[in-house]
Amino acid sequence: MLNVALPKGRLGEKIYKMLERAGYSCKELLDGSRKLVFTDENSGVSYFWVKPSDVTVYVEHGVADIGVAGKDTIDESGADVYELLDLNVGRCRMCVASVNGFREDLSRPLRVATKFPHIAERYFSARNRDIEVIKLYGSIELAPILGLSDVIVDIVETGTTLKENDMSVLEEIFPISARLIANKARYKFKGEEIAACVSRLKKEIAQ
Amino acid sequence: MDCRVELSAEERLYLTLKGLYEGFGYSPFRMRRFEEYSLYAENLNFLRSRDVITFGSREGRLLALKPDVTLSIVKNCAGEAGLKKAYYRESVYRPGADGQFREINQIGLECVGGADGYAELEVLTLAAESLKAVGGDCAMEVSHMGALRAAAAAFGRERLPEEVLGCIRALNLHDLPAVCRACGMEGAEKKLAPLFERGGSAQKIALLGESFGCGEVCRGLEAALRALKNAGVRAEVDFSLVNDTDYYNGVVFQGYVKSYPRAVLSGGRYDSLVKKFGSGGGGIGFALYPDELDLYLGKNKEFDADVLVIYKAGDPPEKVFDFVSELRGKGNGVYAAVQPPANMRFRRIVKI
Repeated sequence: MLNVALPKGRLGEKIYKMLERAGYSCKELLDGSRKLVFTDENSGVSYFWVKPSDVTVYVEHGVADIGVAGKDTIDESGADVYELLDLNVGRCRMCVASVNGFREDLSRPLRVATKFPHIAERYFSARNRDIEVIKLYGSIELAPILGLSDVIVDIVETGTTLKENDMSVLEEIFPISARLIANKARYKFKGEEIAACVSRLKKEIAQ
Repeated sequence: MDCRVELSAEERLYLTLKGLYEGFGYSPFRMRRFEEYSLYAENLNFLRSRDVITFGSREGRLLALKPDVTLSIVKNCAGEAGLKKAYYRESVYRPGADGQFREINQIGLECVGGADGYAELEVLTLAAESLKAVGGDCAMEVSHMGALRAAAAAFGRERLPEEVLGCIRALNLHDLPAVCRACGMEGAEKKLAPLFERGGSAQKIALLGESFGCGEVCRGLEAALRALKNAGVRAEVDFSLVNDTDYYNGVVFQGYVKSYPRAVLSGGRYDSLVKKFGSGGGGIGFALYPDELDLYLGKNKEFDADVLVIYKAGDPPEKVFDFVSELRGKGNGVYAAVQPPANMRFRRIVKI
């Protein structure tokens, strides 16, 4: 039996459809029930919906053998997990952005508003740039517009929000997509099952 | 006085391991809780975390609560001739998964100075036996630091870039081509990736030999696998296991039990560390982390004591004590009080 943590929301539903086509169906999962755990003995799989940013936690602690998380969540959490497959869905980019016409003042620390403080710290420290991180939980784009920060480090999908707010991408940090992750210890004991799942999903992605 | 106590899972494990290690001639090693901070400052890469709790002594020296045991044992052996075999049960202080400092209990052994092929076989066997002592289904992974060193040399480097090692540790083969390109090693993933794909140990060792021609490393891995399998533990070669290349130079290994989500045992050959401290020969050792295992393996006690004895406030103390002693004499655990305590459970309650 494979225990799978799926991220709640549209991305999670899309990924479940991929898993379903790969042979890991669980009819109850999308029927709008308020249940939290869904098991299908025939498919040999047990799913649970969790907040997207919690998927790495469930997998790292071994409650889930595998899970699906965005590259942004994996890098921000620093979770010690295997990252076995790029599922090629939920594509976007982690970027540094600011208001159009922004000029960086190198004589003082750069003020960076973000939901991803660890990613921001790592990125700027690799460039020896001193920064002051301003942790926000939403509406990140507002920060440089109102003067709370100089730049933002955030996910950019189409760039429409930035454009509509007279902002643009300054640098791309890394591309993001949904990744299949696995607990390192569980992989030692359920390696065959997990490898079979990876192989079936690879075929599904290739189609 | 008869003292019947129920040992915790960690205490039972320690007693088993103590017998095992002493049976192979390892001596207990007791160390001070503090070390000079300079020991760690000069060997930061050897530590799991660079965060160390420091404080000043009355003489103005900078001390640290020890975050690691191996460094202290190797330092203690510096300049001594011959092989030293030591085992320990110590607390170390380092950040846990949540980033907060924790006191972590560690049981392990070290074989320092002149550790040869036999010492390696013995330590690997004891590591496997230690893992078996934890109980339940268990598995080990083994690698060799020479494998990645040979791979780096094939690409004209002393060591692989940290970004490439990051992909290797996470078995992230889909990002490996882009990372290799960014590190100026375009195309290196073609030779590297097959080593980390799923397959048997023999196949991986053969592939390592074919791709990077390091015969001694292959023979070392085969010997390690034989030792672990002869000790009755399922073992596989996994090149994604990477320790620090400055200190570890040979076989490295980790152990897992089915009931726990992280490695519970880790170790390896660290000749480079031993040489740095001026001791001859090499060193090999491992540590087991039983603290968190207790969370997963320890059983909650059903009762806090066998008998709750309720006495009246005015009862003579000697009379109550005699009553309690009589129950204790019959092998009961007894809790005596005037009022039943909150949140405690007893097999039975007796009123005097």
